[in-house]
Amino acid sequence: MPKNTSKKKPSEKNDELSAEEVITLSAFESVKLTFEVGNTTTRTAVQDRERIHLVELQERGMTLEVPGRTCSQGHNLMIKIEAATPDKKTVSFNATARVDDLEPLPDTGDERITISLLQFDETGWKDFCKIFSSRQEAIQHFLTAARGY
Amino acid sequence: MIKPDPRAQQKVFEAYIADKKILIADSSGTARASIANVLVTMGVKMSQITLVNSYVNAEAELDRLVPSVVIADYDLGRRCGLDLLQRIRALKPTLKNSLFILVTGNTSQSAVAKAAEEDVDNYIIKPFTAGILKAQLLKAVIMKMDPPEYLKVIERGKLELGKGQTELAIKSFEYSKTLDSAPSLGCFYLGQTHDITKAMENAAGNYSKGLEYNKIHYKCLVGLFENLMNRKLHVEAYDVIKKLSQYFPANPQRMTSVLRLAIMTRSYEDVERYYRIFTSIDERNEEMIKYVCAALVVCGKYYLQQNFGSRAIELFQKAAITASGRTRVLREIILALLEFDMAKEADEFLRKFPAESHKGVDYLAMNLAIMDHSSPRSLTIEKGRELLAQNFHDPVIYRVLIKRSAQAGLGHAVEDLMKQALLKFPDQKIQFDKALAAANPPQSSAPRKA
Repeated sequence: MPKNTSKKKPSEKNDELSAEEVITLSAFESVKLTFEVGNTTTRTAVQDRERIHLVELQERGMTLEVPGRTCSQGHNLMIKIEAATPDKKTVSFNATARVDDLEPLPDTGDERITISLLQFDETGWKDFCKIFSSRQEAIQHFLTAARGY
Repeated sequence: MIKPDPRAQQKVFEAYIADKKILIADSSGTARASIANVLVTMGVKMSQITLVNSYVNAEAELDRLVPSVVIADYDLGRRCGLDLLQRIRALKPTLKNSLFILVTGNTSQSAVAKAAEEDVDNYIIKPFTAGILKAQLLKAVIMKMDPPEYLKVIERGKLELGKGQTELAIKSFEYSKTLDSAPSLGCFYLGQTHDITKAMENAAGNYSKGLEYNKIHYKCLVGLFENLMNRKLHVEAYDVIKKLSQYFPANPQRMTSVLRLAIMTRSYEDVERYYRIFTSIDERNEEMIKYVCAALVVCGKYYLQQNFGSRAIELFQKAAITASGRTRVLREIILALLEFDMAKEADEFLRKFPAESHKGVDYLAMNLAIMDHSSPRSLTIEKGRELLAQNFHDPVIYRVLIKRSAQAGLGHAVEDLMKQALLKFPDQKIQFDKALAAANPPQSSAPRKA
């Protein structure tokens, strides 16, 4: 992320940009999340992974949108999330979790579930959450710099 | 100014939000519910909140409710949530206490930059934590309700500028610069004031100063770019537009400016590099495609002039592929090749015209132009006349006919053709005169019969 201040004048030679720096493909890429979710209580796996969305993170849990009939309240899930960043880094996070809350979403047939993590690697969880907290910080920094306040 | 005390800030938030209508637009029911829950924990009543799952529904509710707070996903089906901001600005021009916040899974730099260009109040990514969402909402409200002195003075200056009180505005903007450690916005408005009073160099100086404080200040970058373009300083403008495109990549309009300036500053190798990147971008609109094709053709012409024929053909091939059957592009390529007597190569590009365009004027005119290089004069004249009789009027057809008829000594025919051509295409007079001149080079012999 570009810093807020610059002591260089824009016209100085070492500020000149090559065409590849002007437009980079990674600028158009988002963090890509791929999911594997299995219901260990019913011994079923979610097939339609494209319909899984991660919306909110809690201290030791998350809120997800999943296809309907994935689970019920109280069920245990096995979750694997892989996050691929635009700079080609990949962070994987695996955990078992319990479904604390479930709300059907009638307009799509999906379900909103809140899960708490049971067995997971703390460092892996921190690394996973850091992807988003770092990106949020960088975005705030960029917005402030771009707007000037 | 409100102290950074959470309770004081919460009070300000509650006072602000008390009577406000809030629209949450997100195709994910989970996201809508999660955001609404956070707002409720911050003291908002559910009755104040309207939830919509699509862009179309969001538009309808915007018109109906005219909400003061809009929280939208960047990606709303095929539409961009940012477009709602334009709509709300049109509905609520005063906008003073309105908030527009994006909450989205789109974490790309291009989306963030586009949001920054549009001056959104905040950009929050999913997955969010309740804590971050609350903090960012609070921050946005505090900024609205109690902006720092720096921004208040700038607002005052803007009002003064709007009333034509230029001297007062300059004083305000100069004063604002003492109120912030990196007063790029103050510098920008000073630059704007000087642009308005036509003190162009002073304006550029102010924008540059703003960029010294903050090299990605969007308004200063745009201000400087426009200032340099108005002064026709294209090399410097190209430098600035490259920086703009680097930090704010998503704007197709800007990409076309980059290309145009690359051509104007003869940075032909850059054009080829941009082309490689453009082929990988999904967000390509008609205008961008048009400019990419035009830039490749201009580059190709440059290489023809430099005697790098095969290089030129490569670029023309790329233009033809990008054009995907757009006949105007193929036409330009053919004419460029014919200018350098490359009729065989021109014919290859004629074959790239889609079958359904073979009865169109572009194809027929180019066919005639190529024929003109390889066929006997009489055949060319006959074909040209046939096309005009079938009501196909094109400057190229007239140019070919004028030249060949003049060479054949058909004085009356040439006169009639010139009249007709100038009636149909008065802006092409120079080309028609050139065609006539080409038929009568200084050392030419006596006219022959057709």
